Amino acid sequence: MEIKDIQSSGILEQYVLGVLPETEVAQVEQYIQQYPEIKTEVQKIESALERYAQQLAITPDPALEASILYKIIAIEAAKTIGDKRPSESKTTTSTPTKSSGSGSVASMGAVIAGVLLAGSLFWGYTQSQELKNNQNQLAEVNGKYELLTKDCSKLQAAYQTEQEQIAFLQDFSTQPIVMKGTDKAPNALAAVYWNIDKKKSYLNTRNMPDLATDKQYQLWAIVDGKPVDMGVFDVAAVEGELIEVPFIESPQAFAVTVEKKGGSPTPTLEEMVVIGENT
Amino acid sequence: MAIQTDKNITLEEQIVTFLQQKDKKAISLLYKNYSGALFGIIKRTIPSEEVANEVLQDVFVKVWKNADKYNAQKGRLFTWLVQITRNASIDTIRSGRYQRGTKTDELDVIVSNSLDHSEEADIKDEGLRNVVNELDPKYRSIIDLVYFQSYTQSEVAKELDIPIGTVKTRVRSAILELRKKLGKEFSSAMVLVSFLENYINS
Repeated sequence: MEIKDIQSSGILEQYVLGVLPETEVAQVEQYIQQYPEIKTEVQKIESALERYAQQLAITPDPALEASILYKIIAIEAAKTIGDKRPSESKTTTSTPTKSSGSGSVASMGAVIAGVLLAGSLFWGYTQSQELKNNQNQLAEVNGKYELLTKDCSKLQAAYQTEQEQIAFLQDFSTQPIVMKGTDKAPNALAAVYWNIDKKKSYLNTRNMPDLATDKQYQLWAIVDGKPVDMGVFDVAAVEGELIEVPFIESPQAFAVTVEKKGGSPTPTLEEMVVIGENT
Repeated sequence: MAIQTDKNITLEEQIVTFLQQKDKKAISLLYKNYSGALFGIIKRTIPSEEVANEVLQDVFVKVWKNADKYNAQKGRLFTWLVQITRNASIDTIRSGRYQRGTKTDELDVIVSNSLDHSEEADIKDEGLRNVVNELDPKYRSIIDLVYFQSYTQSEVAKELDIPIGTVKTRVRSAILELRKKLGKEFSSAMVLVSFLENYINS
Protein backbone atom coordinates (compact mmCIF):
# COMPACT_ATOMS: atom_id res chain seq x y z
CA MET A 1 0.00 0.00 0.00
CA GLU A 2 1.11 3.53 -0.72
CA ILE A 3 1.67 5.84 2.26
CA LYS A 4 -1.19 8.06 1.06
CA ASP A 5 -3.52 5.07 0.90
CA ILE A 6 -2.56 3.97 4.37
CA GLN A 7 -3.25 7.45 5.70
CA SER A 8 -6.64 7.73 4.04
CA SER A 9 -7.75 4.16 4.77
CA GLY A 10 -8.74 5.03 8.33
CA ILE A 11 -6.77 2.16 9.87
CA LEU A 12 -4.43 4.56 11.68
CA GLU A 13 -7.37 6.20 13.44
CA GLN A 14 -8.77 2.78 14.30
CA TYR A 15 -5.33 1.74 15.60
CA VAL A 16 -5.14 4.70 17.98
CA LEU A 17 -8.75 4.29 19.05
CA GLY A 18 -8.02 0.66 19.88
CA VAL A 19 -10.70 -0.78 17.58
CA LEU A 20 -8.47 -2.27 14.91
CA PRO A 21 -8.67 -6.08 14.63
CA GLU A 22 -5.66 -7.88 16.18
CA THR A 23 -4.56 -9.14 12.80
CA GLU A 24 -4.14 -5.63 11.41
CA VAL A 25 -2.48 -4.16 14.49
CA ALA A 26 0.84 -5.83 13.72
CA GLN A 27 0.62 -4.48 10.19
CA VAL A 28 0.18 -0.90 11.42
CA GLU A 29 3.02 -1.32 13.90
CA GLN A 30 5.20 -2.34 11.03
CA TYR A 31 4.12 0.71 8.98
CA ILE A 32 5.00 2.94 11.95
CA GLN A 33 8.52 1.49 12.07
CA GLN A 34 8.92 1.55 8.35
CA TYR A 35 7.58 4.98 7.38
CA PRO A 36 8.39 8.14 9.38
CA GLU A 37 5.36 9.85 7.74
CA ILE A 38 3.06 7.21 9.17
CA LYS A 39 4.67 7.55 12.59
CA THR A 40 4.10 11.31 12.51
CA GLU A 41 0.53 10.86 11.33
CA VAL A 42 -0.20 8.44 14.18
CA GLN A 43 1.33 10.86 16.67
CA LYS A 44 -0.88 13.65 15.35
CA ILE A 45 -3.99 11.51 15.76
CA GLU A 46 -2.85 10.60 19.27
CA SER A 47 -2.22 14.23 20.18
CA ALA A 48 -5.62 15.34 18.87
CA LEU A 49 -7.42 12.71 20.94
CA GLU A 50 -5.27 13.45 23.97
CA ARG A 51 -6.07 17.14 23.78
CA TYR A 52 -9.74 16.34 23.28
CA ALA A 53 -9.71 14.10 26.35
CA GLN A 54 -7.87 16.77 28.35
CA GLN A 55 -10.57 19.26 27.44
CA LEU A 56 -13.23 16.97 28.82
CA ALA A 57 -11.26 16.26 31.99
CA ILE A 58 -13.09 15.99 35.28
CA THR A 59 -10.95 16.56 38.35
CA PRO A 60 -11.20 13.56 40.67
CA ASP A 61 -11.25 13.81 44.45
CA PRO A 62 -7.71 14.98 45.36
CA ALA A 63 -7.62 12.42 48.19
CA LEU A 64 -7.41 9.65 45.59
CA GLU A 65 -3.76 10.44 44.91
CA ALA A 66 -2.86 9.51 48.48
CA SER A 67 -4.84 6.31 48.44
CA ILE A 68 -3.24 5.31 45.12
CA LEU A 69 0.19 5.90 46.64
CA TYR A 70 -0.71 3.82 49.69
CA LYS A 71 -1.78 0.97 47.44
CA ILE A 72 1.45 1.14 45.51
CA ILE A 73 3.57 1.38 48.65
CA ALA A 74 1.71 -1.69 49.92
CA ILE A 75 2.32 -3.58 46.66
CA GLU A 76 6.01 -2.78 46.74
CA ALA A 77 6.34 -3.58 50.42
CA ALA A 78 4.64 -6.94 49.92
CA LYS A 79 6.69 -7.78 46.86
CA THR A 80 10.21 -6.90 47.69
CA ILE A 81 12.37 -8.34 50.38
CA GLY A 82 15.98 -7.59 49.79
CA ASP A 83 15.23 -5.70 46.61
CA LYS A 84 18.24 -3.67 45.78
CA ARG A 85 17.74 -0.35 44.21
CA PRO A 86 20.44 0.49 41.76
CA SER A 87 21.91 3.75 42.85
CA GLU A 88 22.65 5.44 39.65
CA SER A 89 25.18 8.12 39.64
CA LYS A 90 26.01 9.51 36.34
CA THR A 91 29.04 11.66 36.12
CA THR A 92 29.33 14.00 33.26
CA THR A 93 32.82 14.79 32.34
CA SER A 94 33.45 17.86 30.37
CA THR A 95 36.53 17.95 28.28
CA PRO A 96 38.18 21.31 28.35
CA THR A 97 38.75 22.63 24.88
CA LYS A 98 42.24 23.71 24.10
CA SER A 99 42.49 26.75 21.97
CA SER A 100 45.51 27.24 19.83
CA GLY A 101 45.59 30.44 17.89
CA SER A 102 48.22 31.56 15.37
CA GLY A 103 48.97 35.29 15.14
CA SER A 104 47.34 36.45 11.87
CA VAL A 105 43.99 34.67 12.32
CA ALA A 106 43.83 35.57 16.01
CA SER A 107 41.33 38.42 15.60
CA MET A 108 39.17 36.37 13.28
CA GLY A 109 39.35 33.59 15.81
CA ALA A 110 38.27 36.00 18.54
CA VAL A 111 35.17 37.00 16.54
CA ILE A 112 34.19 33.41 15.93
CA ALA A 113 34.87 32.59 19.56
CA GLY A 114 32.67 35.53 20.55
CA VAL A 115 29.82 34.34 18.37
CA LEU A 116 30.16 30.81 19.65
CA LEU A 117 30.28 32.07 23.21
CA ALA A 118 27.15 34.15 22.76
CA GLY A 119 25.41 31.21 21.13
CA SER A 120 26.38 28.81 23.82
CA LEU A 121 25.40 31.30 26.52
CA PHE A 122 21.95 31.63 24.96
CA TRP A 123 21.67 27.86 24.57
CA GLY A 124 22.84 27.46 28.17
CA TYR A 125 20.24 29.98 29.29
CA THR A 126 17.33 28.22 27.63
CA GLN A 127 18.60 24.87 28.89
CA SER A 128 18.90 26.19 32.42
CA GLN A 129 15.35 27.58 32.24
CA GLU A 130 14.13 24.17 31.13
CA LEU A 131 16.16 22.51 33.86
CA LYS A 132 14.79 24.94 36.43
CA ASN A 133 11.24 24.14 35.36
CA ASN A 134 11.89 20.43 35.67
CA GLN A 135 13.57 20.89 39.02
CA ASN A 136 10.68 22.95 40.33
CA GLN A 137 8.21 20.32 39.27
CA LEU A 138 10.36 17.61 40.83
CA ALA A 139 10.69 19.54 44.07
CA GLU A 140 6.93 19.98 44.17
CA VAL A 141 6.36 16.29 43.56
CA ASN A 142 8.99 15.37 46.15
CA GLY A 143 7.37 17.61 48.73
CA LYS A 144 3.98 16.07 48.07
CA TYR A 145 5.48 12.59 48.30
CA GLU A 146 7.05 13.35 51.66
CA LEU A 147 3.76 14.68 52.98
CA LEU A 148 1.99 11.55 51.78
CA THR A 149 4.61 9.32 53.37
CA LYS A 150 4.13 11.18 56.66
CA ASP A 151 0.36 10.80 56.36
CA CYS A 152 0.88 7.14 55.71
CA SER A 153 2.93 6.52 58.84
CA LYS A 154 0.41 8.50 60.90
CA LEU A 155 -2.37 6.32 59.53
CA GLN A 156 -0.32 3.22 60.22
CA ALA A 157 0.16 4.25 63.85
CA ALA A 158 -3.56 4.94 64.22
CA TYR A 159 -4.35 1.63 62.57
CA GLN A 160 -2.03 -0.22 64.92
CA THR A 161 -3.66 1.38 67.98
CA GLU A 162 -7.06 0.36 66.68
CA GLN A 163 -5.89 -3.17 66.00
CA GLU A 164 -4.64 -3.41 69.57
CA GLN A 165 -7.94 -2.14 70.89
CA ILE A 166 -9.90 -4.59 68.78
CA ALA A 167 -7.70 -7.44 70.02
CA PHE A 168 -8.31 -6.22 73.56
CA LEU A 169 -12.09 -6.12 73.06
CA GLN A 170 -12.08 -9.60 71.48
CA ASP A 171 -10.09 -11.03 74.36
CA PHE A 172 -12.40 -13.38 76.32
CA SER A 173 -10.94 -12.09 79.59
CA THR A 174 -12.16 -8.60 78.76
CA GLN A 175 -15.27 -7.80 80.74
CA PRO A 176 -17.49 -4.83 79.98
CA ILE A 177 -18.97 -2.93 82.91
CA VAL A 178 -21.79 -0.88 81.49
CA MET A 179 -22.84 2.37 83.16
CA LYS A 180 -26.34 3.69 82.52
CA GLY A 181 -27.53 7.30 82.57
CA THR A 182 -29.02 8.80 85.73
CA ASP A 183 -31.93 11.29 85.83
CA LYS A 184 -29.42 14.02 85.02
CA ALA A 185 -28.54 12.43 81.65
CA PRO A 186 -30.99 9.61 80.84
CA ASN A 187 -29.52 8.95 77.38
CA ALA A 188 -25.90 8.88 78.48
CA LEU A 189 -24.06 5.57 78.39
CA ALA A 190 -20.55 4.55 79.29
CA ALA A 191 -18.59 1.36 79.69
CA VAL A 192 -15.30 0.32 81.19
CA TYR A 193 -13.71 -2.66 79.44
CA TRP A 194 -11.78 -4.36 82.18
CA ASN A 195 -9.23 -7.15 81.73
CA ILE A 196 -7.77 -8.84 84.81
CA ASP A 197 -5.17 -10.84 82.80
CA LYS A 198 -3.77 -7.86 80.96
CA LYS A 199 -4.30 -5.51 83.90
CA LYS A 200 -5.69 -2.93 81.53
CA SER A 201 -8.95 -1.05 81.14
CA TYR A 202 -10.49 1.26 78.58
CA LEU A 203 -13.39 3.71 78.83
CA ASN A 204 -16.01 4.32 76.15
CA THR A 205 -18.76 6.96 76.37
CA ARG A 206 -21.85 7.88 74.41
CA ASN A 207 -24.37 10.76 74.55
CA MET A 208 -22.66 12.50 77.43
CA PRO A 209 -23.93 16.10 77.60
CA ASP A 210 -21.54 18.95 76.80
CA LEU A 211 -20.17 20.75 79.83
CA ALA A 212 -19.35 24.34 80.68
CA THR A 213 -15.68 25.09 80.07
CA ASP A 214 -14.87 25.17 83.79
CA LYS A 215 -16.24 21.63 84.29
CA GLN A 216 -14.90 18.17 83.47
CA TYR A 217 -16.12 14.62 83.78
CA GLN A 218 -14.42 12.44 86.37
CA LEU A 219 -14.43 8.65 86.42
CA TRP A 220 -14.65 6.86 89.75
CA ALA A 221 -14.23 3.20 90.70
CA ILE A 222 -16.01 1.98 93.82
CA VAL A 223 -13.72 -0.38 95.74
CA ASP A 224 -14.79 -1.74 99.13
CA GLY A 225 -17.61 0.79 99.11
CA LYS A 226 -15.23 3.74 98.71
CA PRO A 227 -14.77 5.93 95.61
CA VAL A 228 -11.33 5.85 93.95
CA ASP A 229 -10.33 8.65 91.55
CA MET A 230 -9.73 7.34 88.02
CA GLY A 231 -8.98 10.64 86.32
CA VAL A 232 -10.82 13.35 84.40
CA PHE A 233 -11.78 13.60 80.71
CA ASP A 234 -13.52 15.88 78.22
CA VAL A 235 -16.29 14.27 76.22
CA ALA A 236 -15.56 16.25 73.08
CA ALA A 237 -12.11 14.66 72.89
CA VAL A 238 -13.09 11.06 73.58
CA GLU A 239 -16.62 10.53 72.25
CA GLY A 240 -16.61 7.45 70.04
CA GLU A 241 -13.04 6.55 70.95
CA LEU A 242 -11.61 4.21 73.53
CA ILE A 243 -9.40 5.86 76.11
CA GLU A 244 -7.17 3.93 78.37
CA VAL A 245 -7.92 4.47 82.08
CA PRO A 246 -6.01 3.23 85.13
CA PHE A 247 -6.49 -0.44 85.96
CA ILE A 248 -7.96 -1.23 89.34
CA GLU A 249 -8.29 -4.62 91.06
CA SER A 250 -11.78 -5.82 92.08
CA PRO A 251 -13.98 -2.79 91.34
CA GLN A 252 -17.55 -3.14 92.59
CA ALA A 253 -18.83 -0.39 90.35
CA PHE A 254 -17.84 2.53 88.11
CA ALA A 255 -19.44 5.97 87.93
CA VAL A 256 -18.91 9.30 86.23
CA THR A 257 -19.64 12.65 87.86
CA VAL A 258 -19.39 16.26 86.74
CA GLU A 259 -16.69 18.06 88.69
CA LYS A 260 -14.80 21.31 88.50
CA LYS A 261 -12.01 21.36 85.95
CA GLY A 262 -9.11 19.16 87.05
CA GLY A 263 -11.30 16.94 89.23
CA SER A 264 -12.27 16.69 92.92
CA PRO A 265 -10.89 14.49 95.72
CA THR A 266 -14.38 13.06 96.35
CA PRO A 267 -17.30 12.67 93.96
CA THR A 268 -20.20 15.14 94.00
CA LEU A 269 -22.99 12.56 94.11
CA GLU A 270 -25.74 14.95 92.93
CA GLU A 271 -23.71 15.45 89.75
CA MET A 272 -23.48 11.78 88.85
CA VAL A 273 -24.36 11.15 85.16
CA VAL A 274 -23.76 7.40 84.74
CA ILE A 275 -23.23 4.46 87.07
CA GLY A 276 -22.86 0.72 86.60
CA GLU A 277 -22.17 -2.24 88.88
CA ASN A 278 -19.63 -4.96 88.20
CA THR A 279 -21.82 -8.05 88.38
CA MET B 1 4.68 24.47 18.19
CA ALA B 2 7.96 22.59 18.20
CA ILE B 3 8.68 23.83 21.70
CA GLN B 4 5.35 22.53 22.96
CA THR B 5 5.87 19.10 21.45
CA ASP B 6 9.39 18.85 22.86
CA LYS B 7 8.13 19.64 26.32
CA ASN B 8 5.44 16.99 26.06
CA ILE B 9 7.96 14.40 25.04
CA THR B 10 10.22 15.42 27.90
CA LEU B 11 7.42 15.04 30.41
CA GLU B 12 6.40 11.71 28.92
CA GLU B 13 9.96 10.46 28.88
CA GLN B 14 10.44 11.62 32.42
CA ILE B 15 7.35 9.74 33.58
CA VAL B 16 8.27 6.60 31.64
CA THR B 17 11.78 6.65 33.10
CA PHE B 18 10.41 6.98 36.63
CA LEU B 19 7.90 4.21 35.95
CA GLN B 20 10.55 1.86 34.68
CA GLN B 21 12.80 2.63 37.66
CA LYS B 22 9.82 1.91 39.94
CA ASP B 23 10.12 5.43 41.29
CA LYS B 24 6.87 6.57 42.90
CA LYS B 25 7.37 10.10 41.61
CA ALA B 26 5.93 8.69 38.39
CA ILE B 27 2.58 8.33 40.11
CA SER B 28 2.51 11.93 41.30
CA LEU B 29 3.43 13.18 37.84
CA LEU B 30 0.88 10.93 36.16
CA TYR B 31 -1.77 12.02 38.62
CA LYS B 32 -0.98 15.68 38.16
CA ASN B 33 -1.04 15.53 34.39
CA TYR B 34 -3.52 12.83 33.43
CA SER B 35 -5.88 11.97 36.31
CA GLY B 36 -8.49 14.49 35.14
CA ALA B 37 -8.57 13.31 31.54
CA LEU B 38 -8.70 9.65 32.58
CA PHE B 39 -11.36 10.30 35.21
CA GLY B 40 -13.40 12.12 32.55
CA ILE B 41 -13.22 9.00 30.39
CA ILE B 42 -14.19 6.70 33.26
CA LYS B 43 -17.17 8.88 34.14
CA ARG B 44 -18.54 8.46 30.61
CA THR B 45 -19.17 4.77 31.22
CA ILE B 46 -19.48 4.88 35.00
CA PRO B 47 -21.36 7.91 36.26
CA SER B 48 -21.29 6.72 39.88
CA GLU B 49 -18.64 8.80 41.65
CA GLU B 50 -17.85 6.04 44.09
CA VAL B 51 -17.34 3.32 41.49
CA ALA B 52 -15.45 5.69 39.18
CA ASN B 53 -13.08 6.51 42.06
CA GLU B 54 -12.32 2.83 42.49
CA VAL B 55 -11.71 2.37 38.79
CA LEU B 56 -9.30 5.31 38.68
CA GLN B 57 -7.30 3.77 41.52
CA ASP B 58 -7.27 0.41 39.73
CA VAL B 59 -5.98 2.15 36.62
CA PHE B 60 -3.02 3.67 38.44
CA VAL B 61 -2.19 0.37 40.13
CA LYS B 62 -2.31 -1.39 36.74
CA VAL B 63 -0.11 1.28 35.18
CA TRP B 64 2.39 0.76 37.98
CA LYS B 65 2.33 -3.03 37.71
CA ASN B 66 2.51 -3.13 33.91
CA ALA B 67 4.97 -0.29 33.39
CA ASP B 68 7.43 -2.60 31.64
CA LYS B 69 4.81 -3.47 29.01
CA TYR B 70 4.60 0.09 27.72
CA ASN B 71 6.41 0.45 24.42
CA ALA B 72 7.04 3.99 23.24
CA GLN B 73 7.61 2.67 19.71
CA LYS B 74 3.97 1.66 19.44
CA GLY B 75 2.40 4.86 20.63
CA ARG B 76 2.32 7.71 23.08
CA LEU B 77 1.98 7.26 26.81
CA PHE B 78 -1.50 8.75 26.92
CA THR B 79 -2.81 6.30 24.31
CA TRP B 80 -1.57 3.46 26.50
CA LEU B 81 -3.11 5.02 29.61
CA VAL B 82 -6.45 5.31 27.81
CA GLN B 83 -6.32 1.64 26.79
CA ILE B 84 -5.80 0.61 30.42
CA THR B 85 -8.54 2.97 31.55
CA ARG B 86 -11.06 1.69 29.03
CA ASN B 87 -10.28 -1.93 29.86
CA ALA B 88 -10.65 -1.23 33.58
CA SER B 89 -14.01 0.48 32.98
CA ILE B 90 -15.27 -2.36 30.80
CA ASP B 91 -14.08 -4.98 33.30
CA THR B 92 -15.98 -3.18 36.03
CA ILE B 93 -19.15 -3.13 33.96
CA ARG B 94 -18.78 -6.80 33.02
CA SER B 95 -18.02 -7.85 36.60
CA GLY B 96 -21.59 -6.81 37.37
CA ARG B 97 -20.47 -4.38 40.03
CA TYR B 98 -22.00 -1.78 37.81
CA GLN B 99 -24.43 -1.93 34.88
CA ARG B 100 -24.01 0.06 31.70
CA GLY B 101 -27.77 0.02 31.38
CA THR B 102 -29.93 -0.68 28.36
CA LYS B 103 -27.96 0.68 25.52
CA THR B 104 -30.76 1.97 23.35
CA ASP B 105 -32.19 4.04 26.16
CA GLU B 106 -28.79 5.15 27.17
CA LEU B 107 -27.53 6.37 23.85
CA ASP B 108 -29.50 9.58 23.74
CA VAL B 109 -28.40 10.30 27.24
CA ILE B 110 -24.80 9.67 26.32
CA VAL B 111 -24.88 11.93 23.34
CA SER B 112 -26.70 14.75 25.07
CA ASN B 113 -24.63 14.22 28.19
CA SER B 114 -21.50 14.77 26.25
CA LEU B 115 -22.92 18.07 25.11
CA ASP B 116 -23.65 19.01 28.70
CA HIS B 117 -20.29 17.79 29.79
CA SER B 118 -18.69 21.17 29.34
CA GLU B 119 -20.46 22.08 32.55
CA GLU B 120 -18.99 19.26 34.53
CA ALA B 121 -15.64 19.08 32.83
CA ASP B 122 -13.00 21.56 33.87
CA ILE B 123 -12.70 23.49 30.66
CA LYS B 124 -11.06 26.62 31.91
CA ASP B 125 -10.40 28.19 28.55
CA GLU B 126 -13.33 29.65 26.69
CA GLY B 127 -11.56 28.96 23.39
CA LEU B 128 -11.21 25.28 24.20
CA ARG B 129 -14.84 25.03 25.19
CA ASN B 130 -15.71 26.24 21.73
CA VAL B 131 -13.62 23.54 20.09
CA VAL B 132 -15.60 20.92 21.95
CA ASN B 133 -18.94 22.54 21.29
CA GLU B 134 -18.21 23.33 17.66
CA LEU B 135 -17.58 19.72 16.81
CA ASP B 136 -20.44 18.30 14.76
CA PRO B 137 -22.63 16.23 17.16
CA LYS B 138 -22.50 13.23 14.85
CA TYR B 139 -18.70 13.27 15.14
CA ARG B 140 -18.78 13.86 18.86
CA SER B 141 -21.05 10.92 19.46
CA ILE B 142 -18.83 8.64 17.43
CA ILE B 143 -15.66 9.67 19.30
CA ASP B 144 -17.47 9.39 22.60
CA LEU B 145 -18.76 5.93 21.87
CA VAL B 146 -15.59 4.50 20.38
CA TYR B 147 -12.84 6.33 22.26
CA PHE B 148 -14.40 6.94 25.63
CA GLN B 149 -16.89 4.12 25.94
CA SER B 150 -15.08 1.31 24.12
CA TYR B 151 -17.92 0.48 21.77
CA THR B 152 -16.76 -1.69 18.90
CA GLN B 153 -17.45 -0.38 15.42
CA SER B 154 -20.19 -2.92 14.87
CA GLU B 155 -21.80 -1.95 18.20
CA VAL B 156 -21.76 1.67 17.07
CA ALA B 157 -23.30 0.66 13.73
CA LYS B 158 -26.10 -1.09 15.58
CA GLU B 159 -26.62 1.76 18.02
CA LEU B 160 -26.68 4.54 15.48
CA ASP B 161 -28.41 2.34 12.92
CA ILE B 162 -25.90 3.09 10.18
CA PRO B 163 -23.84 0.70 8.03
CA ILE B 164 -20.46 -0.33 9.45
CA GLY B 165 -18.74 1.21 6.43
CA THR B 166 -20.21 4.58 7.37
CA VAL B 167 -18.98 4.12 10.92
CA LYS B 168 -15.45 3.60 9.64
CA THR B 169 -15.51 6.65 7.37
CA ARG B 170 -17.09 8.73 10.09
CA VAL B 171 -14.41 7.75 12.62
CA ARG B 172 -11.76 9.12 10.29
CA SER B 173 -13.73 12.27 9.41
CA ALA B 174 -14.39 12.90 13.08
CA ILE B 175 -10.71 12.84 13.94
CA LEU B 176 -9.77 14.96 10.92
CA GLU B 177 -12.38 17.50 11.99
CA LEU B 178 -11.05 17.44 15.53
CA ARG B 179 -7.48 17.94 14.33
CA LYS B 180 -8.56 20.84 12.16
CA LYS B 181 -10.37 22.57 15.00
CA LEU B 182 -7.64 21.90 17.53
CA GLY B 183 -4.99 23.03 15.06
CA LYS B 184 -6.69 26.38 14.59
CA GLU B 185 -7.11 26.92 18.29
CA PHE B 186 -3.64 25.58 18.98
CA SER B 187 -1.78 27.88 16.62
CA SER B 188 -3.54 30.98 17.92
CA ALA B 189 -2.71 29.93 21.47
CA MET B 190 0.92 29.40 20.48
CA VAL B 191 1.13 32.88 18.97
CA LEU B 192 -0.08 34.27 22.26
CA VAL B 193 2.35 32.15 24.27
CA SER B 194 5.36 33.16 22.19
CA PHE B 195 4.26 36.80 22.35
CA LEU B 196 4.12 36.55 26.13
CA GLU B 197 7.49 34.84 26.27
CA ASN B 198 9.06 37.61 24.23
CA TYR B 199 7.39 40.18 26.41
CA ILE B 200 8.62 38.58 29.64
CA ASN B 201 12.14 38.00 28.38
CA SER B 202 12.60 41.51 27.05
